[in-house]
Amino acid sequence: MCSGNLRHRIRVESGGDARKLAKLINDMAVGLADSKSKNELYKQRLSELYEQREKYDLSKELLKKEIIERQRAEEELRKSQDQLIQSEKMAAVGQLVSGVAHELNNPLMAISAGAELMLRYVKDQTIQEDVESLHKDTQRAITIVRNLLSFARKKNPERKLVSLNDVVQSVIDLQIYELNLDNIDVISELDPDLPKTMADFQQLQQVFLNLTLNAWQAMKEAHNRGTLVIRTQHSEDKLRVSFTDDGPGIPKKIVGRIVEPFFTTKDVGKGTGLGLSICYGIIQRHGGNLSIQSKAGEGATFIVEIPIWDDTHAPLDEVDQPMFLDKYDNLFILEESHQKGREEVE
Amino acid sequence: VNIAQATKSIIVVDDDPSVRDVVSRALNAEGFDVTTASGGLEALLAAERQHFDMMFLDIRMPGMSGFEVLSRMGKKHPRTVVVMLTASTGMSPQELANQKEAFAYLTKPCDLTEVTRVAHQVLKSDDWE
Repeated sequence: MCSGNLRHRIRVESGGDARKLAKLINDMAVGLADSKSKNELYKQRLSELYEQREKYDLSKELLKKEIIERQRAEEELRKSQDQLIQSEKMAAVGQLVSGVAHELNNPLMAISAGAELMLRYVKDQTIQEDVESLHKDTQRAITIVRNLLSFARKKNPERKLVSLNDVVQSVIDLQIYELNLDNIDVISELDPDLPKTMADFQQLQQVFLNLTLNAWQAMKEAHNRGTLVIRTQHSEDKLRVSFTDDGPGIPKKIVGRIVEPFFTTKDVGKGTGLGLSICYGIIQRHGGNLSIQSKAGEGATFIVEIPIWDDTHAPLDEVDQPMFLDKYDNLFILEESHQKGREEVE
Repeated sequence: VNIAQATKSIIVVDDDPSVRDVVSRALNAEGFDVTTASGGLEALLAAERQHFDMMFLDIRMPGMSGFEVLSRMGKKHPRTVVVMLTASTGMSPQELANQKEAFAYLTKPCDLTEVTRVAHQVLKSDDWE
């Protein structure tokens, strides 16, 4: 019994006390055996519980992951819904704008040309000055209408294989001297493995120039100095160029409106509010997206995303475009010589 | 008188009277013989009566469009140089590709000096500086 055999029973046939003792020991052995088996049971139960807990922990992890994924998906969905709403709104605005702009072109031509004719015949200097200012203001109206049209224009970009790093570099080269004069540092973090894509170099240059100018103005006005970080990155199917400034940032309530035509935070006469609308139009026509991340007081980041298209994957109608331009370029020489500056950023 | 130096004739076709007026007056001042028409049909009828060296042609007009006038002029009066003068730049590539007959496209609004420069260039007038 001492070596653990709790089934053994002590038999004592004689002696009253000895028999009682034996019975006690035997009862104790029964109790011990019972609690030992219970102990085994508990042990088993405990290990089962441990197992269950492990399973539970695992499913908790999985659930957590699922929740995070779900949240990310919802965020993506919300973002693409926002983009959809934005692009539909801009399409409607574009249609309206191009209709109005076309209607304005005839009277603007008549007013501007009328002033030109008057200048030839009027001898009185005061009248001449008045007519000159009339002509000048008409030119201003013409420029606004042209910018509006270039925002709304359905003309697709010319498509050639372009490295966005080259576009960014050209923009920096163009402005670095003046930026530095205004105490603006430019840090470029260019992805060395950035793939090329089918795009319109000049149009993208216009967009990047405009985004740089906006950041520059914002930083200069806020604290007369600043740092602009221009970064290029790529994922499997998208190229991304971001412009991060440490200016005053953009209040949340106007972030959504900032690409609308004529929406401007600048003083009257300093900007027409068309620059970003034009940028938006250009990026849309590249099949991409222009988005803004900003909090008031914490600077702003403008993000341009465009798809990676190699020369075999560009949609057919867009491939048609450069062919057309090459073939009939001569038709537009007259128009372009007159309209240089039409694409100018504000 | 050398024939090359004879007065060149131009017809200005536009449904907008103000534009028609300023363009024709500017060309007149340059010494060209200018006729105007307010629509496509009127322009074609005028071209039947008289030869024009050059035509400034609007595209969006009620009735006959500028493109139709252009194509008819190309068939019947190929010696008339046609320059499109249009307020609408929103043409599809297909539309423009079909209009090879036009010598050039000018978009409204443009300076009158631009109009007269094109006229002198096309007609190679001797008094063009």
